[in-house]
This record gives sequence, structure tokens and C-alpha cells, in this order.
Amino acid sequence: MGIFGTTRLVAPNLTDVATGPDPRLWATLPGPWSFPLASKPPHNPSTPSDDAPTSSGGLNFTAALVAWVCPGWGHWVLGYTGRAILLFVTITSIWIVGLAVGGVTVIDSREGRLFFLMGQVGVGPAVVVDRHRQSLVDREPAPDPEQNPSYAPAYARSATLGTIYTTVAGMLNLLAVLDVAHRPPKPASAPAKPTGPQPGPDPRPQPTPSRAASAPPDDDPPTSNANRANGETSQADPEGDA
Amino acid sequence: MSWFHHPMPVSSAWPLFLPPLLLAVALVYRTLKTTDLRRLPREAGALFAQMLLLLTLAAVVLWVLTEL
Repeated sequence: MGIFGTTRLVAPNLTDVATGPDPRLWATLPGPWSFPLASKPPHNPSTPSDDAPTSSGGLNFTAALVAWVCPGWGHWVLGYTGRAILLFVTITSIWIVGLAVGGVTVIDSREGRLFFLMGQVGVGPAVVVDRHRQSLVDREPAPDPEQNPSYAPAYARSATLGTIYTTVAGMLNLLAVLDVAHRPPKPASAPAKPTGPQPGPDPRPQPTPSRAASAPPDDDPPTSNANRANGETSQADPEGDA
Repeated sequence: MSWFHHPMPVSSAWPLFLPPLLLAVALVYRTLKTTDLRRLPREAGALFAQMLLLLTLAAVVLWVLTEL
């Protein structure tokens, strides 16, 4: 099996997808692969949290791939339904509006390679549209407006707006892909507390609250290194996401 | 498919296409960054207003520098 775990990519299991490849593989690699991950503490298989889904040190390659194919799909796979719907509606809307305004010729990997590589390719279906445009151009290199051509090249403001809309959609989806690659799966909601009589307080002596109070609750999902450095993104999302 | 094979004439209406783009940028960015989706409308609205205000200000400054 390769470094990225080929089996996981082909047949994704949500827990495996979230954990990504074993961080020990990354830490042993030379070069830039090891710079964010080599500082991780050694992986101890005997710890109880070994089975807990975490993306700290790992990347969700499959989630990132499906997020590139369809905006929002990666967040959907990880359980962030509300964010997934918002991303899908917003990114797909501006991408389709860009295509409608400028036509398929605004996505051009030959003449407009800069815009294509800079942003448009961030939405996976742009590759299909580019292939379709190439087939149109190869079939009819110089469409004659007098003879009802099958397509017309974009011009003036239409070309500008179409290119900007599709490029910005690609850049935004690239943000979503990077976000989902570092995001742990949403934890399952906590089971309901029993309604019966609760047992009394434990008479045994309690540990000092110094570390126990500062430790995060068990419900909190682990935070990835990138998002921890960000300091703004919460991985918990306990209430706001559907 | 004809829509996507022939560009739309938007010569005079092109400024109307810019606010939706800003709104989309604000929505996607705050969707990825917010800690609670219930705060998303307020945060995205604030970011949209900031971008619209600053870009309008930049446009005015550039217009003054180039036209006056």
C-alpha cells in the first residue's frame, strides 16, 4: 500500500477518510512533507484515543477530492451538512452565473491558461467544460454569426464577468478544499442523559482540578494543527451546523 | 445549452454583477471560518458591507486620480 493508503481512497470509510494516512509515515519522510508533522508526539497505539477520529497531522484526501469535484461535498461527507449546503449553493451559483454570462469559452486552458490555472480549475467540473469548449473550437474554429453557429466566443464585458465569476468560484472552492482537508469529521451527538434517579456523588477523593478543568470535554473533536494555528475556526460546531 | 454557448449581452448592467460576487465571497469565507452557523448572517453581512464600502472608496479615489 502506498503512502496515501490506496484502499482508503477507493473505498472510503468515513472514519478512515477523516484520519487520513498514518502520521508516522509522514514523520519518517524527508523533505517538506515532514515539517508540520514531525513535531507530533509519537503515536501510541495503546492509548484509548487511538480509535477516535482525528485529523491532527493527517489530511482528508478523499474529502478534499470530492470537495473539488462538487463544492460542499467534502463537508457533507464529514457531517457538516449546513456548511455543505451553503458552500454548494454559493459556489455553484456564481460558477453557473459566470458560465451563463460569458459562455463556455470563458474557461479556456489554452488561451486563458493564467485564469484557468489561477482559479477556474478549483472547481472540478471546469475541466469537463474546458474539454467541451475545446471540442467545440476544434469542430468550428471560426464561428460565423451569419450562419447560426453552435457557439459564440465571449466578448467585452461578458468575457470579463464570466471569467471573473468562474475564477472566483474556483478560488473559493479551493478554500473549501483546503478547509475540508484539515477538518476532522463532525462528532456524533452525545447520547441523551437517563431520566431516572441519578447516583449520588462519588465518595472517593477527586483529583485536583488543575488539569481536569482545563482539559476540553470529551465531546470536543480534536483540532488540526492548521486550524489550531488559525485560532479562529472552531472544529466543534456543536450547535450551529445541521 | 444555448445559454452557455452564447454570451449574454451585459454591456450596461455589468455593475449589477459585482455585489452578488462580493456577497458570495463573504458567505463562503464566513461559512468556513465561523464557529457557529447561527451567527453567519451577521458576520457575512458585516464582511460584505466592509468589502463593498472599501471597494467603493477605492473606486472613488481611483476615479478622482484619473479623471480630475
